[in-house]
Amino acid sequence: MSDTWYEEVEAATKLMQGDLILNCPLVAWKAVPPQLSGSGETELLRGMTEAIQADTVVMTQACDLEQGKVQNVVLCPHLSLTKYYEAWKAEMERKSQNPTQRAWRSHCDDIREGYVWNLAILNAGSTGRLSTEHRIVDFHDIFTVPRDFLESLLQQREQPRLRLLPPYREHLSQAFARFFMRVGLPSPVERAWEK
Amino acid sequence: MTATVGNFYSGTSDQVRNQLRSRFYRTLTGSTASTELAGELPDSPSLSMLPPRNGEQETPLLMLVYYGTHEGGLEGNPEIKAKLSQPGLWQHSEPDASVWRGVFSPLYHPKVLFSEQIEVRTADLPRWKPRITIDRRTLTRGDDE
Repeated sequence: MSDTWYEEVEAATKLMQGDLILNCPLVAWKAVPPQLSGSGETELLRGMTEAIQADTVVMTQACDLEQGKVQNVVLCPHLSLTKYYEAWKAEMERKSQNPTQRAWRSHCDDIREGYVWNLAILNAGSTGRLSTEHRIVDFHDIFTVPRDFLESLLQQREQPRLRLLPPYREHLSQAFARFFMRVGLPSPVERAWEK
Repeated sequence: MTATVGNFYSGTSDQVRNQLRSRFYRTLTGSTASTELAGELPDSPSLSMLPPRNGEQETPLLMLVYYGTHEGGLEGNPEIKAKLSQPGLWQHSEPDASVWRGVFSPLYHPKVLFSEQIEVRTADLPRWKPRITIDRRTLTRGDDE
């Protein structure tokens, strides 16, 4: 088993699960709540769409890509740990919480250990030409992009990209599955051993 | 008994597929045998699809499979035997339903509510922003400090 998390692939290489696509254009829903009165639903939907960009990772199963089973590729956004820290700190302050270093470390440990369902952390890594710091993947937002479009875009950019290697790729995929399949209990198991 | 009595390529027109059963079988088996066969055929012969074999880029074959029960009527018929022994007829084995398990990707044609062409300059697009969730676990830890 390799202790390297990433390999570097050329721009023209076919997409694979675990590919990190930086600055990817996406069609998304606006965060503003829809105004239901007045216009019809079609006009409402039209007004709610927007194009954004994000750093993303390919979540579509490798075999589906390999065997050409899908026309659209599933992507989840991620951002550097530095950027994530800024967002986390701002949210803590918004909630009148003290964003101490200890709280930050605990939060990162929780993500690392899989206690935060919607988040996964990717290790820092570097290949010959490319490097990345730790990245936080957020499963709360899921995007799809036509595969042909994305592969054309990557070829046009002529930039190599990082690709997660097994088993780190599958580990990320498993975290995604756990997020999706999780079941919360209305009444958890009582801690009889603490009485 | 399962007997493969003919195959369609996926490009075969509906007109050919939907023609009368008796006529269809006559086409496949020859005029002499067709009369005998047509009288014994079930109402609904099954159509199955075979994927291209390894390394082939062909379109999948549509196989008409007759799950007959009248073995006696078919056995010993020299014309049927001759047809079934043709190498081209048996180059695809009996379709296995398990081939179609897993991921199946039919083409959908949803009703389009609106569609528009957009010109995107990625560098000008707003960046995605995460929605941070501060959970009880984090808050509890904050209280400890």
